[in-house]
Amino acid sequence: MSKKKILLVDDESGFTRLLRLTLPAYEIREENNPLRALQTAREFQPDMIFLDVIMPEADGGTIAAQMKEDPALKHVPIVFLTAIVSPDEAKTRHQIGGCEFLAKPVSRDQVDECIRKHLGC
Amino acid sequence: MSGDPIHVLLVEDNPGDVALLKIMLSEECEGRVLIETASRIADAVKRLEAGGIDVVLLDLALPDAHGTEALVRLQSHVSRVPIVVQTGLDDDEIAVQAMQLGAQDYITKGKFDGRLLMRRIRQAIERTRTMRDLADQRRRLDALMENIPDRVYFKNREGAFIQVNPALASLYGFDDPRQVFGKTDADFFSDEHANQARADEEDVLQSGNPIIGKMEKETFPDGRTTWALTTKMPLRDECGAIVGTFGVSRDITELKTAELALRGSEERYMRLLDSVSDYVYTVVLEKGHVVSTQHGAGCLAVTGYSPEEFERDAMLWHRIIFPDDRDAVVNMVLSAVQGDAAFEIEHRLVRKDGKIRWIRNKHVPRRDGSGRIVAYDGLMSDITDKKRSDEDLKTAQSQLMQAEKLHSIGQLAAGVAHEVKNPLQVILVGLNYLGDSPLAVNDETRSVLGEMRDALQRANAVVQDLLDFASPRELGMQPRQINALLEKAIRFVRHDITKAGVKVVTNFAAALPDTSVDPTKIEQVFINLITNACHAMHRGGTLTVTTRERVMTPAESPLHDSGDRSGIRFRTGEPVISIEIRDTGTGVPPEKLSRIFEPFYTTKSTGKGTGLGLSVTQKIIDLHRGKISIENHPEGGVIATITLKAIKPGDRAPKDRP
Repeated sequence: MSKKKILLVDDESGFTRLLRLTLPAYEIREENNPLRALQTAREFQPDMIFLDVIMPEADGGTIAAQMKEDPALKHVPIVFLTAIVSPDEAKTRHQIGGCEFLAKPVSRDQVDECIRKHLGC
Repeated sequence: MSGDPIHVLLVEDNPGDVALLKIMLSEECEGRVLIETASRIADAVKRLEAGGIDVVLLDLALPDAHGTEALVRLQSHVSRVPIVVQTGLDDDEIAVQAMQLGAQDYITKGKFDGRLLMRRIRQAIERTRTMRDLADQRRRLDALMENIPDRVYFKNREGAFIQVNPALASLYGFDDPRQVFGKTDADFFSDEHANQARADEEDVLQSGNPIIGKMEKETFPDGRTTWALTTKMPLRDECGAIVGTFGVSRDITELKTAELALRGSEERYMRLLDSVSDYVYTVVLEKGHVVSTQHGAGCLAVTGYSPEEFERDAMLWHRIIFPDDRDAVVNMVLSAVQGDAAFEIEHRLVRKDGKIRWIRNKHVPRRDGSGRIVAYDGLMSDITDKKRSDEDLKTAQSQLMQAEKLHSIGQLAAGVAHEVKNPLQVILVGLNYLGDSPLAVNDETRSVLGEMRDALQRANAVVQDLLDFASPRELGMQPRQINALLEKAIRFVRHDITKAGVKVVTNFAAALPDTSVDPTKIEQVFINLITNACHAMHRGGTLTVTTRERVMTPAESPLHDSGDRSGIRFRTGEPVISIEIRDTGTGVPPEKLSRIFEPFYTTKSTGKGTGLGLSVTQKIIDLHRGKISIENHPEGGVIATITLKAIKPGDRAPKDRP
């Protein structure tokens, strides 16, 4: 069975690299340039996407909306990572685009748990 | 006249006749007649002008005047003395002439005796006197009618004027009173007034009773209105039968206008008095001692007490000052007595009705010529309303400033959170990575990594608190059981509780009503307070959590000007739930107690708290329109009390769960 493919979109390359290193069970693609996020997603065809909300030049919400319009990507679960939304607010905004929010800083275990929940593995 | 002798002037040039008349009169009247004589008209005139003559007996044949000429000459000088003329035997014609010219009587020479002469003399005097009296009376009556400014009239039974005075005529626009004769009230007044006046007249005619001093509003066809005070009397003929009415009426329009104006001004004055908020008083001094106090207008309005009450009770002024403010006012009085320059203070006053009012009290010393203080004048102004609006303004301003501050803090917090949390994120995942590495098999390495993770969580908590504090959010209100939320919060901090060796005691009221809360937020409040309690008892202690249902008491309702604005949220008799979280820790130093809700204020050592926990807590309670107080318990430790509105049975929560 091939590894599940996870796309990490975050301008903080230290974070994406370390997360990739701590989760060897998945095939993880890092994208640190938000402007290339959509293109990379189309090429990579991930099973799940983690998307930073606040990035220079583009915000996670807009990128998610574009992905949801792409026939090839619209069924891919997206989880937002954000530094400035507190967990309880994430709950209230849970329904937005069917996307979940995780408040930074997240631990490797939280991310793992989140992937398992969404991909059922 | 019966007692006094009658002075008779006998004008006669014939000495024989003179002697005869004297004899006749003295025989008849025995000294009750004094006779003087004049033989010429010129002498007679002179004597008459000197006065004292009651009657003249005039012979019409005199050397210096003949016939009736003598009469005319005498009368032109003295018209008031009756004259009886003597005529010759066949001089009837002259006698008639003399009577027409004003002689009172005549006698024919040789045809009278003393008795007849005396009777004629007496009658002449009597008649003259009567006529004179009548004329006087008539003149006085005319003077009254002609000149009195009051209106006088006489009417016949039909109400037509038969006589009026000029004052009445002029009211109707006539110069000559006779022009009014034959007319009635209906010719001058509006029907309304004429009919009423006629009805009154009918009453007088019927009953014979006068109407005295009736106030009448007279309306004219042109709409003009005058006021009159009228008396109507029955007019009777010589037999006593009522033949009409007469009356006097006085124009009181000016008086009435003045009265109405006075009443209006009194009303204005009363209204003004009601709104008076200033009160002037004077304290008279003698050698530095108060000898009397004068209370001016506004005393009652401002203090509720009358000047008499102040005079009766010498210490009343002191008692009505709000107790906390008495010292300040007494100091002011002392300085006033010593003659210090004018100054003013603001203080509270307990009015007679028990209301507490804010007063501005200003005094100015009054000095005599030598500069010695003899009195001071004070002005008390009720400034409660102004004070209240000032306070409202201050509150609004501070709320605005607070809102602006929060907005800036919100932006700052978001920026800081982003810039701090992203590096923390790298560190956290880095720690995860190191934890997996072969290095971490070493216990010491693992413990170092653990401490780094704790430090990271602390740093994250600071930023999170800042975010929570700075970003106001809508509450998701749901009806919940407070006891259940408290239990959940206690479970959440179980780790801290156990670590500090704290024993937890819960005194939960059974069957509490639901409370409308945002469960997550209220949980956060409980967690904050319990965590604080644990921090205060790091060497162990007892955490007591108590809940109970009660109703707000009047004492907790907002006191007038007490400054306790949070109390406005509750009404007396309203059901509320109290939550008390009490620790047995070190307590909060009293001087720090008032600052504990300030953002970034903390009594804890570095790393133990952000100084935002209680600010956030208070904000959440505020958003719930509840109340929180934190006090040192008399037996030690701190007691935090939260009061929240209970949902009354039958009420639906504002936002029920969907």
